[in-house]
Parts: sequence; structure tokens; C-alpha cells
Amino acid sequence: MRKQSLFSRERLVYWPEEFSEVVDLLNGRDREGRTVGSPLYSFNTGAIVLAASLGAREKRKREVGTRRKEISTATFLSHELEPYIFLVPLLGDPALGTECLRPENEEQVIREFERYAAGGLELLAGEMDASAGKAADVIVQSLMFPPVRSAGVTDLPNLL
Amino acid sequence: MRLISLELNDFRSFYGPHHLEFAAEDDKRVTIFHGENGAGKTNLLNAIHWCVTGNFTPRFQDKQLLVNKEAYKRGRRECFVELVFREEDEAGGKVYRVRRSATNERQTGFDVFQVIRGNSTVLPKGESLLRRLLPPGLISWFFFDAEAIGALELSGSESFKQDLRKTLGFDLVDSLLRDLDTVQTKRRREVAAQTNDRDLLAIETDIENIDRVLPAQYEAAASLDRERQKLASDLEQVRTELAKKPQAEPLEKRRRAVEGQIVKLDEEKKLLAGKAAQIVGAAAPALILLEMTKQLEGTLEEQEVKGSLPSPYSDQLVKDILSAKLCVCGRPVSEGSAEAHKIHDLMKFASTGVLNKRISDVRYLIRDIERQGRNFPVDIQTVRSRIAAIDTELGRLEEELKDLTRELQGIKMDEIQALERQRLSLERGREKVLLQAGGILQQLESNERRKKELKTRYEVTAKKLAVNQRLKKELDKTTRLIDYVRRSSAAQEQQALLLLSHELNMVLDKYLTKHFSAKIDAKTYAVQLLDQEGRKVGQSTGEGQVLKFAFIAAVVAMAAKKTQQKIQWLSEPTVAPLVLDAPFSALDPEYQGSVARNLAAQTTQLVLMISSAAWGEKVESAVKSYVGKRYLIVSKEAGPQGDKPIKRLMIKGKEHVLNEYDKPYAESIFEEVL
Repeated sequence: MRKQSLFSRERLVYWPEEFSEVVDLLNGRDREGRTVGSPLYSFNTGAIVLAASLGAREKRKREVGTRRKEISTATFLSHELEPYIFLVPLLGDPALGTECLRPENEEQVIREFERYAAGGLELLAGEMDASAGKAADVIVQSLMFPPVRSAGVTDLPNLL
Repeated sequence: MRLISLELNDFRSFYGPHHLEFAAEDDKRVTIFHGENGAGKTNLLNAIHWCVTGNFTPRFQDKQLLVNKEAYKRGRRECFVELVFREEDEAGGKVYRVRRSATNERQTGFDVFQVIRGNSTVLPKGESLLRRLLPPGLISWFFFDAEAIGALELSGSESFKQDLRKTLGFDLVDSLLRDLDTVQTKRRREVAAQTNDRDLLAIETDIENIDRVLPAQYEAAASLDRERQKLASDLEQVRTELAKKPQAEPLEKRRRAVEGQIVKLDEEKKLLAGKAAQIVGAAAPALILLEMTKQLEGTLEEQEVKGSLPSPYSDQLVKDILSAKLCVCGRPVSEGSAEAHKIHDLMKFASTGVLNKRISDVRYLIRDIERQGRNFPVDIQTVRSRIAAIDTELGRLEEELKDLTRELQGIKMDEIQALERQRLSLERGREKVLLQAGGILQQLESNERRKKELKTRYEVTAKKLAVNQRLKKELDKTTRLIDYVRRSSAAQEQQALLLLSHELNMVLDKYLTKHFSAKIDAKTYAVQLLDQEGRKVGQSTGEGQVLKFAFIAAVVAMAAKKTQQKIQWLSEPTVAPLVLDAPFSALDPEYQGSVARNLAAQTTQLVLMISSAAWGEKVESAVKSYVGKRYLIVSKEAGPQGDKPIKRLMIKGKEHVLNEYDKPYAESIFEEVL
């Protein structure tokens, strides 16, 4: 049975085209569409949810821009990823509160999700460049846990 | 086609003239040649192979010594082979005679005759006729040295797919599609010229440029694939030779075993790497958000306590009050009044069905994230540990492989060292060809993709332009026709693969003691043997060999419409006899009888060249009812017997001798067993 959408109507989620290569790599393909490595996802929705989650955790947001690609909310629904579109903005800015889940706010929620996804894609692209040669799943696994920050960083002594 | 008779004169081990007849009736369609090693079974197979194609099987040695040695000593410098065969009745039933002659240096004659009531008329385009009846690429499917069945690849290489398509008659449809594609290109060019649109013309030129290089690229890919197969077959032969040398045998056997283990572990590693990537992909968003969701859970709870979560009244209640203009306490709420405004404001905090659903789904997702957070470390650790263990094992095996190669190279025997050098050179050659083939395939894929994109762009652009109605109609017609042929061909291809898969699994189910099944990849035609749990089984196993025989029998049977379910072919497939040299020596004895039964039942004509060692009761009872002709190939040696054994064979209670000594010269003769 087809699950009912959480959206009042079908809407589009945009993401920056410049990160197509990152999305393709996460889907196990290269720029030419050839198979490279093991895919983490079968569809673009998986890669976008991953990027949005990363963007939310790292508080990295950016505008999508005019050169963009789109995915319908119905596609997120069929891949059972639709609730992430609500959860990510809620987590990214807890001050929004549950009010952001009201029907009249759904367009804003989507735009916020897109900004986190774009920010996350930017982060992922950087990581992939820095870790060229490593498998995509190894790179993503290293990003799954927040980096441990040293508790007591002391200033370098004046060596002069 | 069906083989009727064969004449040999001074060909290889057969001195002077020899005449043989084949069983060619529907009920009696099996011909058996019994002969020991070295008697001339492979020479006989190659006599037929050479007569039809002008070439020999890959393992045939000393190709430059075709004339029988004794005949040569006596001054005869030419040998010939003459084969009479009949077309299938459905194809016209015409009878042909093919004669090929040669000296040791070169071919001296080749003629194809049509035989009408005993009279032969030479055909001017005999070679083309033979090519049509039995395309050269398919010879290895019908006439083959079954000891080399291990080299038969069901891995779905491009040439394997092409050969199978040819056998099943799809090559004609492919050729029709190519022609239609040319027509479509011509129409597109006309449309572009008529509209004189710069974009359209540019797109069309790009498509034509790709069309010009594609055939050459396909040809190069197929040629490299054939080269790879040839190198693989040569490599296999060198390794078999190596394994026959007593000093090298244990090392070569171990090397094969180690290589087999490496292949198996590599495959398992690939599967596990895919699984690890999927686990990471599925869990990554959850694990990234896990810490934050814990905080959100707290906030949600806090908000709930504070009452700032959706209030315990619904938006419907507010709407009802406003519409009835009456509060629940009984006080009137007139439109525009301060009360009405206040109640209207409550809507902002009222719970709505949509809001509740979203909150509930978000909470459900949070619970799912927590569950994934718990499961992920265990799931990924299990897979990664296994990958690490495989890597360790692979490292060890690769070291062992190097040691074995070093040991083999260290054996102080020129012959072994030469074979080892040959093996190394062939392996390097194969790697080089693989690399080249990879490059060509990449270019091909890229060009095909670009062509598809250009065609789409062409259609989008053309739609915007005012194209002449007649041209538009012509182009539409061609496109529709291409679409129709493609769909019909795809449907038939799917049906053929389904039937092939069904036939294969029927054979495996019936004859194998293990519960194995076969799966055919619809895209590449690769055939894979799977165990009960769906794991891949190596094709070098005993069961793998049965699969290869079953596959060949099923293809031949399907082409000849001998399967239970028939296909109405778009174009006629190739129907030819199956001629097998040493068919069962590569098989486990437990499977020999069942494979023989299957081959006899599935083919239109079967010729088996078989040694007494492979001729057991099971094989005999499996084919007995189909046998129409039977010959002994008796080997006569010039030297004394010494300690050499005399090989005997019992047929229908009568003992037959297969080798004799102290003869004036060495030769092989045929004796018909009645």
C-alpha cells in the first residue's frame, strides 16, 4: 500500500548541480555513469538526506543557487525518507520548535532542508577531494561520528 | 545441417582413402567413434572442422603436417577431406559436398558442390553458403574438443553474447536494426536540411560522426575479446602441459588451487564491500543526527510539559465554534467581535491532523535513528572483520603463489622452464589485451550514451521547428518501425533466455545430486551456477562442467526447436550437428551417463569420439537407443609391442582390439561395428 505523504501537495526539493559528481559517487557511479566502487545508495534521495544531515550537524548552510537539480517529495516518500525533510531543519535549529511542522510552513521547511543539503554536499565534496583514492563508504563512515575535540588546548609557549 | 558421409585421403594419421558414414536419421542420430589416446580422434574432429572452415580447433598441434607421414615417404604430397551434408528439411533439404585439399605448405583446393540425384554441380559462392549455414564464429559451439570444455566461458563476454545471439538467429534482427538506423539517420539529415536550423544540423552531424566510429569500435571490441579467448585457451593448454610433467605437477596443481581460492575470496570480498557500503549508506544520516535527536527528544518532552506542544484542542473545534457562533460554555460568539478574534487566534496553537501526523512521524524516525545507532556498530564490525580476515588470507595466498612460481621456475628442466616462460608471457599478453579491451569498452559506452543524448536533443529541437509534414511522417514511421522491431526482438530474447534457463535448470535438477540451479543474466547472458543458498559455485567444479554441457545442449536444442516449449523465431537460428572429441573425460564419472543422455536427446545429430576409459555402462545405456553408426579407430603401430598393452573393448558381447603392433607402417584405420 502506498504511504500517504506528509506534505499537503507534491513539492520539489532542489540541490546544487555542481555537486552531481559527489551524488554520483555515493550512488557508485562516475561522471560518465560507469560503475565505480560499491554504491552507498541506489537513488539520489539517499545522498541528499545524508548531505542534509551532515549540514545540520556541522551547522553548514548555503543557498542552492540557480543551477540546480530537483527531486520530488513523492520520491522521498517512496524511498521512505520524507520525514527527514522535517527532522533536519528541526535539529539544525531547535529554536524553530514544532511550529515549523505546521502546514503553512512546509515551503520554508523544504528550503531550510535544501540549504543544509547544499552545505552538507559542499562538506562531502571537500572530504572526497581530501581523501581521494579512499572508498566512498570509508569516507562517509569517518564522518558519521563528530570529531573528538581536544578538551584542553594550551597555547604554544613563546619560544623566542 | 546434418553430416552424411566423410572421405579422408592421406589426412594425418589416416593413410590412403577412408570412407565413413554418419547416422543422420531423427530416431538414429548418434554416431560413435571408439579410439584410444593417439589413435586419431582429434584428427578426425579436425578433418571435419578444417573441411568446413579451413581452420583447426585451438588445441590441434603440428598444423603444418597434414599429409600422412607414410604417404609422404612414398612421394604423395597432397591430402584431402570431403564432407557430404544435408540441409535441414525445413531449410530445403538440399545436399552439398565440400572438398578441401592441401599439401603441408598450403591449401590446394576448395570446392562446394550441390548434389542433385547423384550429380554434383560446383557452386560459385560455396564459401558464402557454408558461412550462412554455419557461421565461422559458431563452429566452436558445434565442433569442439570437449577436453577443453573448461576453457568455455559462460561469463557473459561480448563475443560469447554475440555468438549466442548468432546461434539463436538474432544477428539478422541486429543487422536489420542497423539498416533501419541508417535509414533514420538519412531522414534526420533530410529534416535538418529542410529546416536549415543550425542547432539541428550540428546535432545531426555529431550523431553521424559517432555512427561512423561505432562499427569500428564494436569490431575492435569483439576482436580483442576473441584474442583474449585465444590467449586464455593457449594459457590453459600450457598449464595442462605443465601439469603433466611429474616434477611440476604438484606445484602446478597447488598453484591452480591457490588461484581458485584467490578468485573465490576476491568475489566474497566484493560482495562484503557492497554490503558494508549499503550498511554505511543506510545508517549514515541516522548516526550523524543521533546526538542531536537525543537533545530534540528532551526539548520535545519539555515543550510537552510546558504545554507549548499542540494544545489539547483541535482546529476543528475552533472552526465549529466560529461557524456555530456559539462557545462551548454557551456564550454567543458573534462575527467580528473581540471574542471571535480571540477564538480565531487560538487556531495558531490548535492541533491539526497534519501537524499531529508529522510529529508522530518525526518521533517514529527518531526512534528508528536510535535503533540504528544501537545496531550499526555490530553490523558494520561483523562485515569489516570478515573483510579484514579475507585481506589477510589473500595476502598469504598471494605470497604462496609467488613462492610456487619461484619453485616452478627453479626446476632445472629446460622444458618446464620454457613452459613457465610461455605461461608468463601469455598471462602478460592477456592482461595487455584486457587493458585494451577495457579502454575500447569505455569509449563505446561513452559514445552510445552521447548518441542517446543527442537523439533526445534532436527530437526536442525538431519539435520546435516547422518540419515538412511528409518528412516528419517518414521519420516517425522509421522510428516506430525501429521501436517495433526492437520490442519484438527484446520480447523474443527474453522468452529465449527464460526457456534456456528453464531447460538448464531441468537438466541440473534431474542429473545433479546437489540442489544447484542456474541463473542467466539477461543483459550479458552470463550463466552462473548457484548452490541452495544462492551462492555462486565455481565453473571448474564437476557440477560446473555439467552446466557447460547442459548449456550447449540446451542452446542447440532450442535452435532446432527440440525443446518442450518452442519459439517462433523472428529469423531462423543455426541448426547443426554436435561433434565432440573426448566428451566425457573432463567430467566426473557420476555425471557421464546423464550428460550423454541429455546430449543424445537434445541434439538433431550427435557425433562422439570416445576412448574406452570414458565408455562405461552408464554412457552406453544412455545413448544406446539413438546410435545409428559405430566405428572403431584402430591404431596400428610399426614397432614391436614390447611392454605396451593391447587395449580391448567389448561391444554387444564381442571383444574388439583397438591397437595393434608390428605393422609395416603406422596408421589409423576405421572399422565399422555392426
